[in-house]
Amino acid sequence: MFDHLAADRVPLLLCAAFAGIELVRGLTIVVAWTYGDYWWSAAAALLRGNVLRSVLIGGGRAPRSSGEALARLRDDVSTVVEFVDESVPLAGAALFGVAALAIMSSVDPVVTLVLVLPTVAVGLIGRLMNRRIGRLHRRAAVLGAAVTGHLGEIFTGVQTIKTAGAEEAALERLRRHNRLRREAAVRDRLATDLLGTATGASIEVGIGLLLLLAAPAMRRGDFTVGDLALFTAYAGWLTALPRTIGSILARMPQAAVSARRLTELMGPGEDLSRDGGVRLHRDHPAALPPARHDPLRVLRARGLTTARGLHGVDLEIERGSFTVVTGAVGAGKTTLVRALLGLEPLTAGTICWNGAPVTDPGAFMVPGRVAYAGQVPRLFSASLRENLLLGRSAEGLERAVRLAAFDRDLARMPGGLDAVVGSRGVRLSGGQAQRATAARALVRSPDLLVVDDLSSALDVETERLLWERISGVTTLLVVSHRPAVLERADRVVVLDRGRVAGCGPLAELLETCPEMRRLWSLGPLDEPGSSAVP
Amino acid sequence: MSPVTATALALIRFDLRRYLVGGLLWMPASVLPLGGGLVLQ
Amino acid sequence: MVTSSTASTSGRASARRLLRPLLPGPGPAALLALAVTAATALPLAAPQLTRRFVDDAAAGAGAGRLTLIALGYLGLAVAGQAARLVTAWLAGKVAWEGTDRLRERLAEHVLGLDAAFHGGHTPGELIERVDGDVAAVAGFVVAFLLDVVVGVLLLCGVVVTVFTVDPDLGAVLLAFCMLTGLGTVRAQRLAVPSATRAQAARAALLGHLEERLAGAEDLRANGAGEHALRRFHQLSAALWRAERRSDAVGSGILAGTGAAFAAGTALMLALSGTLSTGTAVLLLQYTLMVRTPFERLIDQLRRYQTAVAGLARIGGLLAERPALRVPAAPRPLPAAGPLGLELDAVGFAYDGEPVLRDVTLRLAPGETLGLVGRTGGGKTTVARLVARLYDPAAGAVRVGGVDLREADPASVRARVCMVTQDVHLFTASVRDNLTLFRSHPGDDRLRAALAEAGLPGWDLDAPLGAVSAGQAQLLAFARALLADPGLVILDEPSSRLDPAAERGLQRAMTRLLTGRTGVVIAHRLASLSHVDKIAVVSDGEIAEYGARRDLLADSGSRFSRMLAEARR
Repeated sequence: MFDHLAADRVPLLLCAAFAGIELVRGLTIVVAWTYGDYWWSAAAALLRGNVLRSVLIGGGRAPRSSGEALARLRDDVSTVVEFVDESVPLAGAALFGVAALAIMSSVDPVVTLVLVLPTVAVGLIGRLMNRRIGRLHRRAAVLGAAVTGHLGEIFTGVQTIKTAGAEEAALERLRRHNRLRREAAVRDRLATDLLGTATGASIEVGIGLLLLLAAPAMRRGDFTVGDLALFTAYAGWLTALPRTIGSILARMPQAAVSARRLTELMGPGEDLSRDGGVRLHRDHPAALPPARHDPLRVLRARGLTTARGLHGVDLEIERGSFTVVTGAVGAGKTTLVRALLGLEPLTAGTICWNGAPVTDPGAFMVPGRVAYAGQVPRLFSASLRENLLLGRSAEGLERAVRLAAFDRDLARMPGGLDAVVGSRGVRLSGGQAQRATAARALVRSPDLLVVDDLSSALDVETERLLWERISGVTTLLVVSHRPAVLERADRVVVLDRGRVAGCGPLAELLETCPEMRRLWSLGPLDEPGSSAVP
Repeated sequence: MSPVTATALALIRFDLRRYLVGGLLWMPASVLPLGGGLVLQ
Repeated sequence: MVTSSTASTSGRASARRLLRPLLPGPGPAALLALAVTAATALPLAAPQLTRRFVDDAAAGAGAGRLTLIALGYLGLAVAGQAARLVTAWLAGKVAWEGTDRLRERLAEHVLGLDAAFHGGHTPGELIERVDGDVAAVAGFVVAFLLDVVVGVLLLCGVVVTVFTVDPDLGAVLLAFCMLTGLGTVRAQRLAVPSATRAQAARAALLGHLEERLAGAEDLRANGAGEHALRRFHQLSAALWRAERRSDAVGSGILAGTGAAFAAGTALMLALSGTLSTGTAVLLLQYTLMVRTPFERLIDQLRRYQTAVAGLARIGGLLAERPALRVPAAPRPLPAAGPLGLELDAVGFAYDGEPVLRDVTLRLAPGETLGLVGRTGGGKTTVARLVARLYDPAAGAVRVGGVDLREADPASVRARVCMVTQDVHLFTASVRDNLTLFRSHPGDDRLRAALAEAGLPGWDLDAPLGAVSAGQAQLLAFARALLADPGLVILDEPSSRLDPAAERGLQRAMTRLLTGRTGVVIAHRLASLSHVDKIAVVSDGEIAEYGARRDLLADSGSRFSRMLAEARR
């Protein structure tokens, strides 16, 4: 065009071609972008799904603050996927760069070299700055997660904060976290921008040098105004190459940090990027019901030891028996059942199911063998039916609800099983939520039902009803210190500071085990009937 | 191979077809400005 | 969940109020304006030198003069990049400060909303609102300052410069820019609904993730991990579909603007037959120069859309009003001593489902009341009304003679203390867990309270590790002892304790209730040995109410029958 311009006429055809090329480019961008969304979404779902699988099924454990774990699944996954995604613009820029350099070299190789050199120099500088940028980014990410974590704390503990009137203090803490994160983020951003600016400046310097060098050639007529237009137009596009290289180099340490933070959530030896068959356009296959297995005859645990809490605890549970674990606060009752279920890592000890050793209790002690109702009932924002079934068929649901003594409450609830339980089940009273989790465990018809202090929020009458219905239905392992439960048990295991202080029927223990006697004599206060030996 | 490289490669591999097709679709967008420059000249 | 229509109306209505925390102070604003001006003016000047260069070269000027021009170009270009860097730095700083203010304001607002609101929103959803949406808005503010403001200024500068070169071309360029700009703005408005849907899908996914991570152990031990994963994949797929639609619209707008620009450049060149070659190069450089910020501007479309959608949702959240009205003329509760409690024909319903009917109770200052009855009977609701987590639908709750609806909320929080069986522990130090981040009367008092509650010898600076439910309960008790309230509500405080710990707690409880009015909910009647009065709550009504002594003496009373049942 410009060579024609020098000759005083610009054909309309060329003008139309210029606009047409841009239109075609626009259309390919729409198609490529929309198509590319699939890969992006599937890659993010793959990483998130693998971490979630590890935390819910595999060897990973969620950190105590779910807000922080959420921040990792949200931001760190994006960082890793964006890093990989950047390979596409890199390829495009490289392709353009090679072709543009070829065309420009055919016009004037020396000028081309001068145009490119500053860019190469900046690329090298970027490589050198990499480690520093990585460090800055790590710090910003940690402080950012602290903000999200604190917000999570505020919103999960909102009732505690509000009833105590501690809103202002919690906000003050938020302000402090905010300030620290802000300072780190601004510094992080400045370092990245510095690299970007250096890249932009290198191109401008290149054009300046181009002018200097081209001056004599233009005077001679070897270098036309059209060539100058071509060079300046390409120079702008050429910035994309160092820019994407710089961006990839800057993202590399960030992505490494993010990948590590995600791997930290997973168990040892698990692969963050294993292809678990993520296909967004097909529905994910429904969970299979647990396979039939070797029905429980006897469960034996020997020398169970955890980092804090348990020291060489032995336990034996026979089919159909009712075992109660009891002890003072901090004796390790909850730790024992959690260790048995694989929720607490064992440092020593073995668990044998019908004599066969269990290598990974976290994966083995699950339905259809074992089900668990924890100390703190945890319900999700969904219908009560969904909360009880969690993917199982509704078969036996009514029976489970009745066994858990939850039927009367359910009948009075508007909507019954379809009633939506609010955030974390707040609309249910403590006792209702506990019996709902018991029903959730019972509907899985386990060989062994593990219950951690289920009756803590129940009135005496409801509790009696529950044990009456539940006894004899399945093998029971129960943490409790209620006399009524202890009396019902076939075998009581008394824990004292992480060791077994006694084991046997209540009546026998009251004669042989001083710790049992101590606990029993303290008894529920002011209930004369229950403090006497039966 | 560093963990992040392994992760990146796995992400590319798990749905290679879509990654490649998606990437190739972007190529015209990068190469077309070449034509624009030539037309300008 | 806020519906999109109400969100957009309230969003627009409060947009100005929303953006106020985002605005910088006068000092930073002036600095930023200076940097923005430099970042605009310097690149504008550079093409003038190229034009001079081309025309002078064509006219056969000396090498020295051409070198001088080229060096001048170099200087201008580098200075322009530096100005841009400073602008980016200042804009980042200003944007972070603004969004942090907005985040804090939003967190404050959400904390001010009552239990009814928090019952319907997951913590994950609120995190996404206060953190994710605010971050999207922050990203937009930086982009706005850098790409929109600088871009528009540059555009104006280019139009003015072209006008001085050739008024006709200037007019064409102006008309063209206005048309393109108008078209883009129109198209963007079309894009907002799909962006809003994509954001809602994102919030749903994150809400699911947060709840499942928090309940990971329950899911694992009940073999429901696969089920949760399946739901996660379904939500991911829904997010992909929503994002694909939103991106198709967004990239379509980008492509349209790009094509329009190329057409404009071609048109300009076709019309510019009568200009000198140098002027034509100048025009080309200017159009290329405008194109970059224009493209960046549209590249920010995603952010713009998310930011507008985010702002709408933030607006929706800010439009939520607490159901508990703040009184016009708040009356403080008596500042010291035990507080009397009076429930006068109180009725209450959750979502239209009546929970309490005609509940009347009276406690003189210093008296203690035990609430007993089956779970789900309404005991906890009575406690929540007394702590003013809810207001009654009928009747009145009076503490220290003041109707809670007219009382100063701060004094209610200071003078009324509730301990429930669900103790929330923070991932923080023991000290922070005791004081809930507030300033405190000194470590000795904290240690004394811990000891009093039965947790002697804890290190205040240590992070609160894994504690049993029983220890958590004791910690909540230590919190209550520190608060020194005039009215104490204990909702099943000892339910998770073994007898030994309960006996310890009973001592602390007696100490806490001495000289204070108390409401104690218990299903274990044993914990009620020291209360003065007993109310039996059944199906939302008071089935029996009287002095504990009298009810015990009457073997036909419900309370006596319940005690007999417990002893059986």
